[in-house]
Amino acid sequence: MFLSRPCLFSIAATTIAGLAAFGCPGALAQSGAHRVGVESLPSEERRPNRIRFEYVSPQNPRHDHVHRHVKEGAALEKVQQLFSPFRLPIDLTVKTVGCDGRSNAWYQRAVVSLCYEYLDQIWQSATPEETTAAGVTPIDAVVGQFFYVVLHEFGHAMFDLLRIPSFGSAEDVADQFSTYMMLHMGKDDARRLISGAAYSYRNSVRSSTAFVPLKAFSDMHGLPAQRFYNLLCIAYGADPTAFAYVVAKYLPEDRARDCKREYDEVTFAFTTLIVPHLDEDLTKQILNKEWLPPQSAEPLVD
Amino acid sequence: MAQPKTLKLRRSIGVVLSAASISFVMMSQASAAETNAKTNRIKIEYFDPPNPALRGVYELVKKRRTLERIQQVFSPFRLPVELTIKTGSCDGVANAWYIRPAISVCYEYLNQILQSLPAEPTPEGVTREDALIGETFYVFAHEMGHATFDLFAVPMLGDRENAADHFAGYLMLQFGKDEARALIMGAAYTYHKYVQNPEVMAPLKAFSDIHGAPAQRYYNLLCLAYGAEPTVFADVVAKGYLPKERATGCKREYDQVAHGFRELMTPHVDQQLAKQVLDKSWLSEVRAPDLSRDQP
Repeated sequence: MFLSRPCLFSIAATTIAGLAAFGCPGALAQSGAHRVGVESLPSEERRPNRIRFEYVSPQNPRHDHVHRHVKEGAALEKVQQLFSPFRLPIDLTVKTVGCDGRSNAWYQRAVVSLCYEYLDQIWQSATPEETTAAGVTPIDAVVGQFFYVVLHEFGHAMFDLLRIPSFGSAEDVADQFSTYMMLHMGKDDARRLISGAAYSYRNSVRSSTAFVPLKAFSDMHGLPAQRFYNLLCIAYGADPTAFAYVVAKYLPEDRARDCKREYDEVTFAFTTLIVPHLDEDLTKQILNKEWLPPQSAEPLVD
Repeated sequence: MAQPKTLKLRRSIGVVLSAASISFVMMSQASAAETNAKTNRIKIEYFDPPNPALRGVYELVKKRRTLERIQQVFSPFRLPVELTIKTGSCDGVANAWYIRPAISVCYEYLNQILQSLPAEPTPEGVTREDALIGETFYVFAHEMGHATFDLFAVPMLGDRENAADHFAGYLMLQFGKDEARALIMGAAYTYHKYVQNPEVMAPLKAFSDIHGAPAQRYYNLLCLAYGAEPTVFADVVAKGYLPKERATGCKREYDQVAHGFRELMTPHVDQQLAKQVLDKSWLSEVRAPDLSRDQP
């Protein structure tokens, strides 16, 4: 929690100059109030198409524009569709909701909650009409950051509802789940989504020396800079050509060398642990779909 | 007379990387070989260090039968191939690693443990002897984690370094409460230098390392322990070694690791043998009455 306030401040106070600027762990770093294995799940037959959604009306009028945008953009309908192939034991709800000023996102069985505060933060972070030095357009920054956080929380949800075993930190697991999903949402989409997602961390990799309070190391999430590099490494490992710019500009070569193997490990795990829970036909439909609006979409000015 | 073994342990980057990618490709073969999986498949080897400065630590681990004990602790794992655990010298580099089918721990690393032991029991109550045992067990168990992930072809999302730490921490917590306490706190002493200052300054590049920062590994270990045994480790939170904000989720973190262990590891463990290993009181046997006599 200690990270969130300075972070919000930095978002408000910063002109976004590019991916090379950095930053804010945002709510993403505090997300994860999920529960694992607390109560038992019904043993009835698992089936696909179990995602429900709700755009809860915001209490704060400042969130009206976000509410309208996500609704008009059918953001949650897209999420519902994306997760329709997962055969779940119970219904899973995703909702956008006002959080009394807290910028957060979390999973608690069986609801993924996305605060308007957090969505607004994503919205504000993308300056109108400006494409960053790293080629991140405002629309990509918004959509990439949105999918990154939603898929992260759904990662927590899938591991919980499907009782998937894991040794690693649940937060790393959720980040990898999110990254892997984005990489499979179409090749052109993947690059735009990953760049947009990486934009979440722009303020944290801005300078070559980092000063970090010791307490930050006790957070169960990795530090923003670590999550930034992990995201880029998996992406580079998946497609060294499409993501060649990542190594040229951001990812140190020492790490980059091993990224293919890291990606292969994620693929092996995803194939072994997740794919058996997917409906094959629905998965094919999902993989063939385009998820991003065209680059020329109207600017984000409200 | 047999030739003394003076072979050095080597680990060039190239070798590691190619070995790592090969090991991934070979995963399916390893699991195919699992029909031949057997307990008691660990071989051990103490290489003779050519560097006289490392003779002391070599004599010490040999005298204290370190590898024999590690071999015994891990004997219940039904391995598809023979695994060798060896100590050797590494041209001055303090390191430890796993490359199929061997775990290598450098005398330089073990010597570093010896050199940094607390002279007096620490405020957390870590004695010199427990730091030595805990840190030593931790490094072997961490590498054993990597070995089992590889040999059992464990599907792994999340950082495998963190997973290997969790593997080691989980095992330490399966011994009796007193032993678990001594092992965990001793192991956590590995990171004591990294949790002294309220602020950490580091080059940004350091955060691109696949290993977590030492301070993160310290908190992860304490959190796992507190999640498993909130009474035994109550002081860890009360005295602020582990921040309360993190502590609230530790039970859930431990449950997740325990679930992971049950699903992914237990099928590869001989339960009867494991019970024998866990019932044995290792520490009273391993703890030397006076460590100073063992000092090189």
